[in-house]
Amino acid sequence: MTIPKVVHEDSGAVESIYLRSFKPRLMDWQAAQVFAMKNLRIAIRYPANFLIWGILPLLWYAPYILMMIAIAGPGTSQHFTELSGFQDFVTFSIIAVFVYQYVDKSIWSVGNNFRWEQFSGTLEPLFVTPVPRISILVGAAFSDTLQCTFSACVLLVISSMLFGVTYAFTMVAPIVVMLTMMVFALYGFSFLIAGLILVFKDPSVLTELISNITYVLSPITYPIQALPSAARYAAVLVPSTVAIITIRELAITGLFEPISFFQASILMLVLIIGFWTIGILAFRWGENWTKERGSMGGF
Amino acid sequence: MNEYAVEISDLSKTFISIRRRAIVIPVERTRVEALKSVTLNIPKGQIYGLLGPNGAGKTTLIKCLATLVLPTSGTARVNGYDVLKESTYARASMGVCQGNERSIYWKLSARENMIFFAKLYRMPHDEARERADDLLGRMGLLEKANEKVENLSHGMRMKIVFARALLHDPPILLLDEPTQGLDPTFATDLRRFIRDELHDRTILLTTHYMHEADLLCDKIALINEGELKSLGTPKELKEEVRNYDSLHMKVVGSPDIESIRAMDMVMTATSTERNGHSELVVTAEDGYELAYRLLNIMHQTPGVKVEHFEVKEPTLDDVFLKLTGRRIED
Repeated sequence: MTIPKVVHEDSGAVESIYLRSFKPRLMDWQAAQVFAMKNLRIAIRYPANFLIWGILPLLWYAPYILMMIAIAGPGTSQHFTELSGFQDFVTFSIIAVFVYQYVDKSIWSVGNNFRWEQFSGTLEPLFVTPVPRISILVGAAFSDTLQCTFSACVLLVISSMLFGVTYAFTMVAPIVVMLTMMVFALYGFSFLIAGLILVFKDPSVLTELISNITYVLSPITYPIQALPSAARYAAVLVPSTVAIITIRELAITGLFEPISFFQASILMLVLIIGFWTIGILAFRWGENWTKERGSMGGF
Repeated sequence: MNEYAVEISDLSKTFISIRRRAIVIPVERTRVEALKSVTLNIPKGQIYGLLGPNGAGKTTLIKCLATLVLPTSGTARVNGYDVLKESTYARASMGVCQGNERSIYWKLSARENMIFFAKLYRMPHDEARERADDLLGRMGLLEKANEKVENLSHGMRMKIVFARALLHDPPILLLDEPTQGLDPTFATDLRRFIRDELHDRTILLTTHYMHEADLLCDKIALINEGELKSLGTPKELKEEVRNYDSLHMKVVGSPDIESIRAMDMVMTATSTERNGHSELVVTAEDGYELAYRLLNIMHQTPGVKVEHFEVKEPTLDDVFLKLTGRRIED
């Protein structure tokens, strides 16, 4: 099969049908989907990834649960109940750890993907295609979110069996909405990190710092009231804080309060717009910076 | 309608590297002029070669056209589109093949790689698959289409990289050292494909293989240290040294190259040393007279013994030597 060609009568030059119908787009969803599928296909061809998805998250948070049990005894303490308003801190923390899986993955996903493409030697070929950069960024983020969904669900199921915790599954719909908004907000953050990675190649100190600050500010294994007052204000600017608090309320109490959910959604929308604007601008700056120095494919 | 597919005007690129103390304090600024006011227009349907040694600026020029590097000054247009202001249209107009086998996904099969990139050019799945199979077939790789790239040979991988550049049937191709490191059979296959199947495209081909440029290109631009030194058909370029012979001499030991250069009849002289042997390339109007006089000098030089000598027709390397004082393979 050969793609039909158009021959210009005046010059005799050959032009493909593709070129004739080509129109630049701001966002190419097909490209994002294709990129995500490609990443998933490659991911499942590394069998060790199944261990990372299934077991590693469990090993990561188990020490926190054990520490809490060792300090306060099984289930709860009076101080914890007064501070958080919840009875059982294992139930309280497992749902937050589930949400934080998405936080951690979303922050690193695009940057890690670009770093991997750079190491593989495939970043430059991607950048000579006429695909909008944002589509590649979103595609990279999608694939990691799907992988994360698998690992977060494994974590939730195993934890529920191990620790006997239960959640209100009737609240799945609002939880998914809130989770999706949080993930989208964090994508913007991830674009920023991808831009930094293009520039600094391995900005491990900077991104580790960002990741750890997000971890500390997100009320995962403690209620937000446990943070110092100044840190509490900063915590509100981190999308995971709003999402964890809202999802925890929904999953544990099983009560849907439209007004507080609406307020949380508005705040999350503001964060999405802010993070995406900063993220895309930072990525564009990073791309131009590397093009000026000719270091796009460099390590 | 514009008659040129690629228009490069006064294009310059300067890389600045800054050495810093304590990460932030700049202590030394190094400027490398990779391209110096390059002007080159390639008419539609022509194959132009960019010939020069490593570090001459060939890849930087290709990367500027491919929108991977921003030029410092000057303009470049691909298919009429400015590579800075209309970069998306420019990218849609060209296929780029960089001679790097790592530029495809090794964990995917040959077909999966091709389909993935075809879909980035908005091809529907069936069409992408058909196009991928067509190109893999023309490269003689259809039987290996389902094989993961990691299990294929270097030559096969390079053919996939090459075929990928053709997926969207671009009118303009930028081929950066497409046969580098290939064994002779694969290299010959690719050259035959370029010559026989891509004659209706505009191609800018960088290479440091003179015979490749000689075989494939309508015109050749000689580039050295970021400057275009000469442009012409292979025949025209060789005309520039038509009146000279090229004497190639292999000797044991190290002859005094400066005294050879000082001989009145010598035009250019270079020496490359390898494992105690020296390979001399000397040009002069009369190669046989030169050989006679040089052999006499060599016989009288202690520790130097001539093993082989030959007077050759001028090559593109001789043209390059005349223009730049260095050989392409230096």
